[in-house]
Amino acid sequence: MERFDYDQAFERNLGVLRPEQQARLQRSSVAIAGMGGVGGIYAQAFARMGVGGFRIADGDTFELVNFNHQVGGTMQSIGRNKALTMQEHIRAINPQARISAWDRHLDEDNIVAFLDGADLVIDAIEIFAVDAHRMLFREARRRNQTVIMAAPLGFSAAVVVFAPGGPEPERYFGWKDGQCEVEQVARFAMGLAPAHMHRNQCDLRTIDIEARVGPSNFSACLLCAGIVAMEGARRLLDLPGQWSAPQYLQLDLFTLRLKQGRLPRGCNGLLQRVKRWLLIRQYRRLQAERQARPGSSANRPAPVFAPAEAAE
Amino acid sequence: MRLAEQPVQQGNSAHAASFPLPTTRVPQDIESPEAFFQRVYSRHRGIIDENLQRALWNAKVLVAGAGSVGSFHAFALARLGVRHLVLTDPERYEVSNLARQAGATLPTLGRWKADAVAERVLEINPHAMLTVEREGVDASNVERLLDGVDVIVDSIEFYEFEARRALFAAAERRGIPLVTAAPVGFGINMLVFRPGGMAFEEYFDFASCRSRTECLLNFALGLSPALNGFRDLDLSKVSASGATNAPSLALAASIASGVVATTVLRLLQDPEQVPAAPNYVAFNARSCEVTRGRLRWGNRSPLQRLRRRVLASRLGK
Repeated sequence: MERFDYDQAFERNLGVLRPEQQARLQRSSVAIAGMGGVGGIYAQAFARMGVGGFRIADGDTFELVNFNHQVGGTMQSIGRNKALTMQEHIRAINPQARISAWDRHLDEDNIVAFLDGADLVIDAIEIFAVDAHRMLFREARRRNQTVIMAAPLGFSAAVVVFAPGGPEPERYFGWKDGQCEVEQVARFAMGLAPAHMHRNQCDLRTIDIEARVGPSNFSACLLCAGIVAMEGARRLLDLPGQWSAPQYLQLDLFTLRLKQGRLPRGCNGLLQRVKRWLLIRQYRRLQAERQARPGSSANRPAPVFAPAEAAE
Repeated sequence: MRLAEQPVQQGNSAHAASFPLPTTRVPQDIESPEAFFQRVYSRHRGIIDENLQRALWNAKVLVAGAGSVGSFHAFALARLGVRHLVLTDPERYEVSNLARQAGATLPTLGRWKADAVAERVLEINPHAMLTVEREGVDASNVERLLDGVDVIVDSIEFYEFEARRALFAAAERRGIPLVTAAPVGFGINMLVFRPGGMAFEEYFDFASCRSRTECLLNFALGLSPALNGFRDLDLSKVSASGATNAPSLALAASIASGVVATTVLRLLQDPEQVPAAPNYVAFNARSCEVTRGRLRWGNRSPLQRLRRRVLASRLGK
């Protein structure tokens, strides 16, 4: 094995980055909450960019069903903790990286240590865990940290950046204690992607908010990683063109179209309320249909495709 | 538990002895390819329907070049559910690949890129059927590599112009659709060549080139008529003749592979729907812009000729 040398490993970034920018990335530290669908690819993207410090956390272990969309999911990592697996992966790219890994989900006890000293916070917690998102946004806000969040939706990536001067995420999404889970997730998804470009790509029948199941797609995760790494570099290096909420961005891989816009009132604008009402109504109707269908044992999407013979 | 059957076919028998056997142990419940297919790829349900998922599983895709962007493509296609992959690359991993090649890690340094990528693909899908070629694509092996291939992904090194030309010509002869996505700076540039679109030689107008350097310039300009990504570069670090690599970041390769995997899926679904050359499309993450257009005369258009002159003078040589 050849000896590792930071300057040699990242020399081909020069030409895009200046040497002082590369040195700054090496000194920077990024906190990535969640090492699943998108989090693992973020870690890899930042590591290959040359970022030197990582704070990562995830309480889950890799399973077979993660293989279609999670970079850490391989035959060797089945049953292993996601954060610890990705820690090894970052070390295999940059053995000099400073990594703090938590093999537990973020909670009130470890969030302080997790965020301390991070120059940038990336939210890669699964979309359905709204309470965890709220805590992360709140604590990062208290520390004047920027949070970047992207969601793979269908074949598209929806990205928002919450900068210290902009609207508070809690108000942007309009979350309140006592809202039902379906409403909270709907507010989240629609606030992330007001352009709703994934409308015809993602079958609402395959999403079950209560069971926290939804389809996933690796190509959209890769796109999320590329854009998040770019926005991360923009923040860490003070590059021009910074944008943040209430602006939003969604790029679709299928049509290769990009939509950018502003949502000054967040999820509380009139149009957003109407759209949300329609979406929740449709979701509940499909949910009821699924439960009523004879032969369906539970209100969950079937775990597998229909067997090949039955499909014909 | 038992060892998986050896699913790797050697492209070149001369290397067969040194290629390590896959050591992946496959748990009993996913011993059959069908069981694995159901368990893993049913997670696409709702985004990719079953017929298309089966089409992906049965398709054979050639990833020409397992280097920077090629390794990203191979992993993306494996996770998308493509079972048959042909991987080629003539190089071994070195330290400077760590910055942007998905297959480069400390344990793979010094190893053949195609081998290392193949092993990782088998970790993602132990039922993958792989053909591995350590020679890279050239005129002598291209026909053999294209046997049974449904879609080609071109991720050959930018400066390997002769290999690329041989590949594109063979693809056109056989009518196999080909997608190429080049990361430059913070951006990516994509082109699709397929039956019904413009021919490769015609689009890039290589007939007018008097030297290899001019061919490379024409290739760069055809890929990126709007010069997407070139503004992100310090052009003093780029050479037109191939002494150094064009700089780009891993984040651009990540975006490129997302775009390519989706385009492969679209090509398998219905090639007619996918815009092909002379249409081009580009995305730049730094400026958050998608650029698309149509170069009706390819590089023969007067504007493209002017751009070639300007770029040539800025590159110094």
